[in-house]
Amino acid sequence: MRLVTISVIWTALALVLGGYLLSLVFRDTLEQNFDERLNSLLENLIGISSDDTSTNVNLSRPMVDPRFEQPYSGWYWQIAPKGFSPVRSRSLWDVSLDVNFDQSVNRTRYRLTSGPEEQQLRLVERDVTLPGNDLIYRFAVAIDTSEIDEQADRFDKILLVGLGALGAGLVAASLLQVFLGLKPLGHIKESLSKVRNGEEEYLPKDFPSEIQPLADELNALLDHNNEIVERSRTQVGNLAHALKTPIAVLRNEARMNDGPMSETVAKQTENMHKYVEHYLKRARMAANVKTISSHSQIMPSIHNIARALNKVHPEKSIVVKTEFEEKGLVFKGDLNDFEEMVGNIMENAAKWARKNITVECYKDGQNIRIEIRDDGPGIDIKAREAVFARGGRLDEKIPGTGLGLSIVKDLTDLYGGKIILDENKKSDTGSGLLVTLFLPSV
Amino acid sequence: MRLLLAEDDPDLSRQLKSFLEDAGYAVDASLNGEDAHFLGETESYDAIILDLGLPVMDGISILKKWRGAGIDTPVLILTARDSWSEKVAGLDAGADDYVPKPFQIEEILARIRALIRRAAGQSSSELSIKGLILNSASSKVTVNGVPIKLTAQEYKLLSYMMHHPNKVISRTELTEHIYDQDFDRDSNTIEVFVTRIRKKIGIDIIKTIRGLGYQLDAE
Repeated sequence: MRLVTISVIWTALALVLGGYLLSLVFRDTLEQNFDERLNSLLENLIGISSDDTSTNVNLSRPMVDPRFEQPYSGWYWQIAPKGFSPVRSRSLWDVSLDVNFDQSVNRTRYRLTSGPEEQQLRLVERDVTLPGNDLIYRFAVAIDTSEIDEQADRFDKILLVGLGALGAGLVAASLLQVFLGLKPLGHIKESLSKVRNGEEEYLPKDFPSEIQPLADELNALLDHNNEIVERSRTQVGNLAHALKTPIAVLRNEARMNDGPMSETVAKQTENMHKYVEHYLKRARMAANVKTISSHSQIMPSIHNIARALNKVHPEKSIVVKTEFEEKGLVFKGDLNDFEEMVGNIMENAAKWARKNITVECYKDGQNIRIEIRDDGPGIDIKAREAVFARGGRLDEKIPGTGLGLSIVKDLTDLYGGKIILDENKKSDTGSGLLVTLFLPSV
Repeated sequence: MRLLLAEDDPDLSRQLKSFLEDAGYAVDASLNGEDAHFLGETESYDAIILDLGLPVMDGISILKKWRGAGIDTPVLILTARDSWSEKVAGLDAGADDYVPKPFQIEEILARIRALIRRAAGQSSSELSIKGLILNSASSKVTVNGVPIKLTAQEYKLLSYMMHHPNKVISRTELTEHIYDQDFDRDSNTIEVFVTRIRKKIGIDIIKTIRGLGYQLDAE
C-alpha cells in the first residue's frame, strides 16, 4: 500500500509539473511565432508604402490578408505620420490604434494594447521615414491575441487528456507491478506459516528468481534451527546417558549395604534418577515442539514395538489393527516422542496382560485415536489418577521405574493430545485396561 | 547357572557380578565388546547380560554375530538411551529382553531368571519334578513340602539339572555351568556334589549314565 501511494503521488507530481512546463513552452512558442508574423506583416506594410503627399501614404497594393479589410476582424494596421491623422486599415473602421509620439520607436517594439470591442491586441510598431521627406511615420500592425489564447487552450486540453491517460496508465502499471512483484512475498508468507504449522518442512524451490534467494536463506535458517535442536537433543541425550550409570552404581551400592547412610543414599539417588529422567525428557520435548514440528507415520513404529514386545513376552499375543490405510495415519510431531508415548503404554499393557493385547488405530477428524487394550487386572477408578503422578506406581512388585505414564501424560499434554484410562469391556477375562490416546494428525 | 556379563562401567560390572554371584550364578564379566563377543562364542552360558554401548565392538553388532553363528543363548540387553528405536533394534538383532538404565539390580535378576526359565521351556518360577520343588525366585528347594538346605554350589548344580530334565548332562557341561571361567575346575568335585545332593533330597531322581554323565529322571 505504501508503495502504491508513493508511486501515485510521484506520478501525479511529475505529470502536473511536466504538463505545466509543456504548456508554458508551447505558449511561449506561440507568442514567438505570433511576434514573427506581426513583424513580417510590419515589414510588408513598410515595404509596400510610399509617400504620396507629405501627409498621406499610399500602399502600392493592398495587404494580402483579407482580414485587414473586414471591420473589427482583429487584424489591423495603421500608418501615423507625426502630427497628422493616421492612415488605417479598413478593419479599424472608425477607431485608431493609440499612438504616443512622446517616445520615438526607432527599433521594432512589441506591446499589448486594447482594440475595438474590448479586443486584446498585440501590437508591433516602428518609426520610419519614407524617401522623399523627413516626416516620421509610425507604422503599426496589431492582431487580436485571442488567437493565441485559443490555440494555447486547445493545446492545454489535448495535453490534459494525454497526460491524464498517461498518468492513469502509469498508476495502473505501478499497481500491477506492486501486485505481481509482491505476490511471491505473499506466497512466502503462506509457505512460512505452513512450515510453522508443520505441514511443510521447507519453503518450495519454485519462486521467481528475484525472491528465490530470500526463500533459500529462509530454508538455510530452518536448517540451522533444526541443527541446533538436533544438537541440543543429542547433548541432552548424552548427559542423560552419562548420568544413568553413576546413578545406577550409587543406588545399587546403597541397596546392597545396610545402615542409615545407605538408606539416605538410596532415597536420594532414587530422587536423582526421577528428576534426571523427568527434566531431561521435558527439555527434549520442549526443544522439539517449540521449533519445527515434523510428520511421523505411526504404523511402522507400532508394528516394530509390537514385534519387540512379542519377543519379550512370547507367551502373550499382541494384535495391531487398523481399518485405515496405514500411510494415512500420520502423527503431527516427532517420531521419538510418539514411540515414547505408544511404546510405554504398550509396554505396560504387555506387562500386565494375561494373554491378549490389542492396538487399534483410528483417524478421528483432526486426531489420531489409538486404543490399547489388555486383559490384565485393570486399574481401579480411584487409582487411575495416581498412575500419572511422577514416579507413581501402583504395584511395587513388578519392576519398573514408574515414570512411564507420567511422561506419556506430559507428552500428550505438550502435543495438545489426551490420554484416557478406562475399563476394557471387550476383555475375555472380564477385566483389563483400555488406554485411549488422542494425538494430533496431519 | 553361568552368566556372561558384558558391561563397560567397572563399578556397575563389579556390583552386578557380586550381586548375581550372591544369587547363585557363576559370572564371567567382560569390560569390552571384543572380549564379550569372544567369550560368548567360545564359552557356554545360560544367559548373557549385554550392555549396548560397549567399547571396541557395540552390543548390536555382537548380538548379530552371535545369532549369525547359531548361538541361541538368551540375551538381556541393557539400554541407556531408553529410546524405542534402540530397544527395537536390540530385540530385532536377537535379544530376548531389555532393561533400561538405570535399573534396580533385583530387576536384572528377575529378568535373568525368567529368560533362563523360558529357554528351558518353563513359564513358572517353580520347577517341580516328582515332589522335588525348586523355586528359582526364592532359591528354596523342598522335597514333598520339606525344605532342604543346599550349599550354593549344590543349588546351582541341581537347578541346572532341573532346568534340563531327562537330558543326559556331562560332567564338563555341569562344570561349565556352575563355575565361572577363572575357577580351577576339577570334574571330580561334581561327583562329590551329586552324591551330597542325592543324600540331602533322599529320593532317587539323579541317575548316573556311565561314561556320559548324569540324568535327572522326570518320567
